[in-house]
Amino acid sequence: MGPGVREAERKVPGGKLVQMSIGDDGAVRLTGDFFLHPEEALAGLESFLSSLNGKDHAATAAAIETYAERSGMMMIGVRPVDLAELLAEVRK
Amino acid sequence: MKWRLLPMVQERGAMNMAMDEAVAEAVGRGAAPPTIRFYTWSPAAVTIGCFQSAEREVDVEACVRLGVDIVRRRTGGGAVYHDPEGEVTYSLIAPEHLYGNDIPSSYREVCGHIIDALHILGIEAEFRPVNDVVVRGKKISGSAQTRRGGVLLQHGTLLLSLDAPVMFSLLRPSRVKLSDRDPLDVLTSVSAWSDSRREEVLEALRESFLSSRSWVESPLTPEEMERARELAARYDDHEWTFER
Repeated sequence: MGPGVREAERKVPGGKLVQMSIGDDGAVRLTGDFFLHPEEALAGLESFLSSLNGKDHAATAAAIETYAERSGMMMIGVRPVDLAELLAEVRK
Repeated sequence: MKWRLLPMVQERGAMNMAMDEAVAEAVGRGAAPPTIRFYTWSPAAVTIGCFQSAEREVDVEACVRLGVDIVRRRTGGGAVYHDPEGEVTYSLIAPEHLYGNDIPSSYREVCGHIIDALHILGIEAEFRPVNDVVVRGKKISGSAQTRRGGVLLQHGTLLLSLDAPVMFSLLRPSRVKLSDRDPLDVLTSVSAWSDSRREEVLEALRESFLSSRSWVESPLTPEEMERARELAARYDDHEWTFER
């Protein structure tokens, strides 16, 4: 992890692990053993997460859910609420 | 529809993943039938899921020291140690429409073949969503699926025996992931429950995956093999492996 990078990690129900980090440039990065279909959707999801301030958990989770639906992506082993909570943590 | 069983091979990691991808491409363009393969790895390899950080999940220095390949898969999921003697890997590659759009359900369906194979060996196992097969709560098989170009590709491992000291010298399971479990107590293997030899396990797998299907055993086409060799270069690429 480089200087200025903040990160958070969460084991979600079902046992998948998601790590989120955010750098000085505000770019959010996701790693972990979750599934995302199609896999190429990850870059778009990371960009979308980078655009959110994450202050309101419920609103952030709803926004992520809407984004996922509109993008036609399916998250397995990670839920919008997990991403919202991780985002709030790395943006503290 | 007639399925194809590829002959059992032992390959290095990059080539194993490239063969899966080459077959998926061929199935996608209608140049190959739905395909099942069983294979092992030589040298030993660690594969990581496509969203994982190699440096976070793998002790890279230990892998180099022990001659263990590190390969990033095109599928999600977690890091896996592929011991040449300690496991068998399967791949099932088929047109997506054969399994429908419900991905969790298709995991359950394909993993059902592993459960059936274990039943043949006298081991009662069950599916643990999303992608695991467990015996008395301990993981004996894990799988990962991708769907690209109208093709479902699911591959996974069945642990035959467990060399936990080596495995945990290569992998770095997260403290968070294992917060409530002893790392040595989350996995099990066929050898813990059965005296079945490797060939018996393979026969059970062949029966469970193929008994309800019309199938023929035939090798990769020359085109698939050539494409696999091309694709292996990507799986060998340091930038691909360490991109996250």
